[in-house]
Amino acid sequence: MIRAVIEQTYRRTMTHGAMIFGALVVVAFGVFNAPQIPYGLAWLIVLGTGSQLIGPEFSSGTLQLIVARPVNRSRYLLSRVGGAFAAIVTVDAIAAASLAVGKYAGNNPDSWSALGQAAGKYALGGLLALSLLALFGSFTRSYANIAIYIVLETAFAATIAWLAMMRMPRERSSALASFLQRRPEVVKAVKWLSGNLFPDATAVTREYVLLILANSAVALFLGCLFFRRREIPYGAD
Amino acid sequence: MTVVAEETSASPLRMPRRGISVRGLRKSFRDSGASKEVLRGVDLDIEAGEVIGLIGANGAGKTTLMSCLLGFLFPDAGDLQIDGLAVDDMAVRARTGFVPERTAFGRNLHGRDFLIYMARLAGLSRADAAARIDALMERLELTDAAERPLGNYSRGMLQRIGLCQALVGQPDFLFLDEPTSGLDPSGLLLVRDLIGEQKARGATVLLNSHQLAEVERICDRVYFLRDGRIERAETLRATRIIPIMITLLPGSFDVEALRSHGLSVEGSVATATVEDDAGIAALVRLVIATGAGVVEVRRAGADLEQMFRKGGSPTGATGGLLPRGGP
Repeated sequence: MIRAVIEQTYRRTMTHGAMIFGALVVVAFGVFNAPQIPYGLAWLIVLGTGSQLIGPEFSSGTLQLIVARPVNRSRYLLSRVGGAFAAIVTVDAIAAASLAVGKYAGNNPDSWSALGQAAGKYALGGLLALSLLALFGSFTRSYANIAIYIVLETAFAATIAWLAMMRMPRERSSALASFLQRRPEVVKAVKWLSGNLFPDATAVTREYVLLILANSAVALFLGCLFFRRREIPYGAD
Repeated sequence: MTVVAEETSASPLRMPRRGISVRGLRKSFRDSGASKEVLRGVDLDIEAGEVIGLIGANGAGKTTLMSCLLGFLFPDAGDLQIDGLAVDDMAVRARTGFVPERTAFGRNLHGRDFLIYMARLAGLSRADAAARIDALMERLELTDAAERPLGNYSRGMLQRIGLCQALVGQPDFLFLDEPTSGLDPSGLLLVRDLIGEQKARGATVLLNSHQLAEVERICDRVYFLRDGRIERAETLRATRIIPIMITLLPGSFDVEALRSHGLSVEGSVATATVEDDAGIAALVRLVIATGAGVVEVRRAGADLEQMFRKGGSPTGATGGLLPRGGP
């Protein structure tokens, strides 16, 4: 990891106008509402921060200034994710603190354990999202990484719902429905893939933590691999 | 060639530097499904401490060549070395400075913070970086803009801060891509002086510029690129040829006397070539000594411009100094 890159990424993220506004909104909702709302809003900060990873730097020409330096590309990518994750953890702390204040004020009926679980899920989910966005940014330009992320997440949710509908027993099954009923492993595979890329757990368990860490590591490894082999043409866009 | 080498530490002993060597460099791009070869076997040698100009029309391959040397692009074939090491060796990167045609970074970042970040990436401590940056910003007349966001910088200021970031690590190898683009006359003079200073401290400079007059003033040698190949190389400094035209007062001169001193005379205009400013003064003294009345003395235009226009040397030679071992 490169300390200068981590610090720079953290500072840029935390001083961004949208970030400050977002954090204030999170605090306001945290003090007066249940954890779903502040963490839902804070998730937008994860996506906003992650969208900045690699792709936009490629398009703006910033990467050329970086790779002309004695900077290992893999270490640079990991440091960028590290800085972004540090910013997300800070937002997490802000959200948790605001929820704690809300609970003391009697505005929040959730247990301390539930609040802790929400904070843990946000940090872990943020880590995986940042890793995926860095991976997508390692081979795309501009903000295509966030587009891929959102399209994939939406497509998986829609596909799973559609497959579930298709598998429901009917009087006259279509060929596809019959196929899916015969081959349940297809639905299982889609669910497995979705569960790995966009996992959703009711509680932060040991398995959930391991899943997030393993999948983030795979995403970052692939991201480093792509980024190391990536050409950075002059005046890319 | 490996894409990214592991970081290596530079030798504590300062070995004699070996410059830049390119052999058989080929690079192609895919364009609308078809492969287009932009560099078709480039060979060149740059001695340590030389200032070299790259000249060629748009699409000739200048930027691609520079991008390969900087590790932005990976060659299809060829051997590229800087100081005897692969171009993507971290020891080389630590001694390299690069000025892009347009410096792009976060618009909200202040100029000084940007430079500190770049300096730290170059391996400088925060304290060393701060001292060097202050000196550089003052030298490049950016001190007043140090605390302003880069988004508020003019094109010329961005160009100058681009130079600052390249020079902050005191590079041994400096790659400049159109460094005077967007600069006002004072900025242009500043850049010219800076390049001179880099040369004086022994840095090797590769300059990619369309401004022929600048290249001619700054560079020791130039490489002409055409259709992805080195068409020829010309030495500007060592055997620099300056054509001089002297307009004489009609009836005041002896044609044969002037010709006996190697001048060509046509009408009332005598022409000759010299190598430097001292040569001009000596030529004028010589002409006056023959009894001729001198009305006007002037340089007969930029010779590099003539080379570029005519595709040949103004001295009549078809080629200059080609790279060692090259075609």
